[in-house]
Amino acid sequence: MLNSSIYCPGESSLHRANPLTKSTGLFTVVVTSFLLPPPALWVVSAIILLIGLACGVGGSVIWRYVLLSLPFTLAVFVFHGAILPRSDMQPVLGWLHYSLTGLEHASLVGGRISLILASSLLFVSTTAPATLLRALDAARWPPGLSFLLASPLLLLDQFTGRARAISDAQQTRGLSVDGSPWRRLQALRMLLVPLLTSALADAQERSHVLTARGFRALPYRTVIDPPADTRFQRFLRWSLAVFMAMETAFMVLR
Amino acid sequence: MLEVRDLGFAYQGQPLLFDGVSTTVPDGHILAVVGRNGAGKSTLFKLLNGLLKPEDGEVLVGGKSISGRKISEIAAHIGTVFQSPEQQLFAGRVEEEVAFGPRQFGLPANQISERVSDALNRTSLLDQIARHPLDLSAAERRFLAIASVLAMRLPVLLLDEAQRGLDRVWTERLESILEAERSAGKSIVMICHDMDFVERNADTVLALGGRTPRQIPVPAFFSDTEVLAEVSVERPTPYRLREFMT
Repeated sequence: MLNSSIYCPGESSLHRANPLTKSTGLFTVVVTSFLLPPPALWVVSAIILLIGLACGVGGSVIWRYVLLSLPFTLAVFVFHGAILPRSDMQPVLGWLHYSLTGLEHASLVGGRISLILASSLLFVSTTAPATLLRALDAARWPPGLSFLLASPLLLLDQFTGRARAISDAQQTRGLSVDGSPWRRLQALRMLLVPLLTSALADAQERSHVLTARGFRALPYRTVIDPPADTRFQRFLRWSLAVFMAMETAFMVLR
Repeated sequence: MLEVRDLGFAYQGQPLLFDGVSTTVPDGHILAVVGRNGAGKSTLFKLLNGLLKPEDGEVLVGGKSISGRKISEIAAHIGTVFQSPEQQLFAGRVEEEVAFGPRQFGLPANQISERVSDALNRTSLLDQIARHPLDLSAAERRFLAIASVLAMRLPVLLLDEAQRGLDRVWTERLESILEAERSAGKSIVMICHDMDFVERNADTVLALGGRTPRQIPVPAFFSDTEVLAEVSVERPTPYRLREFMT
C-alpha cells in the first residue's frame, strides 16, 4: 500500500543536493527521453532505479514504478502491437495477430514514459516539498509561482489524511469496502466526491490564509535557511540548461 | 455492555502502547478516557471500532467478541464520533449524511426517514436538513456527526472530544443527549480533556499514560492526586474549590 508521503528522508548525496539542481536534472532527462532509442530508454530507466537503491529510496521508488508503469506499459504493447491495424501484421494463433513495427513503437512510447516516471519518482522521493519551496524562494522565484509548483507535493499528505479520515468514517458507519469490483467502485466513488468537494472548500480557505499573511505582498520572499548550494551545482545547472537547449534545437531542426 | 479484555497493541517498530488493558462499560454507563496527548486515547477508539487490530486481547459487545470482524460488521454494534468530525462529513446534504448509516443496514425508506428526523431533532438540526454539511457552523457540523451516529441506534457509542470548542448552549445540548443515551441503556465511552465535563457526565474514568491503566469511579479518580499527576490532568473546578475551602 502506498504511504501517505512519497518523500523518503535520507542523507544520500541526492537528498543533500539542491532541489533546483535535481529539478534541472529531471527536466534534462525528460527532454533527452525524446532523443533516445527504445533500448537506451529502458536501460536508463533501470540505471535510475539503481540510483534510487543506492540512495536508500529504491524500495519505495521501484514499488511505485511497477504499480504505475506496468498497467500502462502492458496496455501500450497490446494496443500498438496487436490491436492497432498495421501493414506488417503477422498471425500468431487463430485471430491473434502482431506487428513488429507496432511492438517497436510501443517499446519507444513505453520506454519514454518509463524513463520520465522513474526519474520523477526519484526526484519526489529524495526532495522534501518544503525544501523545494525554500529553494525556489531562495532563487527569487515569484511566491505565487513557486507555491503553485510545490503545492501539489505539499498537499499530498493532507489529502491522503483526509481520504483516510473519510474512508474511516464511512466504514465505521457500515460501508463495506470489500467484495465485488462493482462494490469497490461504488466505495471509491463515495470517497472521491467528498474529497473533491472538501478540496474545493479548502482552496478558498487556504487562499484567504495566504492573502492574510501577505503572501504576495512582495515580489519575492526572504528565506532564513535556504537549502545548501555550491558553485559546482550552479555550474551543473547552467550546463544542463545549455544541453537541454541544444537537444531542443536538434529536435526542431533535424 | 462493552468489555475490553487484556488488550495489547503496539504500532509497527514502536514499544507497546497498551499491555493488558481491561475495562467494562455496562449498559447505561459513561466511561471517560483521559490522559496526556499521545497516551493512546484515539488509538484505543480505533481498536474498539476495528480500524486497528489488537495484538492481544479482545473486545466484546453484549458478551460476544467482535475482534477480528470487518469494520463494517463492527459498525452494527459500535458507533464512533471521531475527533474533528467536521473533517469527515462526506455527503452532499445534511439529510444524506445522517441517512448514510441506517441505509448501510438495509432499512426500508420510511424507517430511515423516521430515524433521520429523530436524530436531527435531537441535535437541533432539523431546520438544516437540506443544507450542505460544509455550510454549517463548526458546532452544527459536530452535532451532525453525532446525529449520524445516533440515527444508527447502536448499543455502544464512542465520542472523541465531542465537547471540544462548544459554547454553553451546545455543551448543554450535548450533555442532555448523553443523559438520554445513558437512560436508554447505551454504553458510552468518551475521550475528553475537559475535566469539568468529565466530572459532570461520566460514571468512571479510564486513565491512560500512567503505570497501570485502570478504571476508577469519578469521585475516587479526582481525589487521587498521585494518579492525576501521573496521567497529567487537572482537577475539575468543584474539587479545586473544595480543596481551597478546606
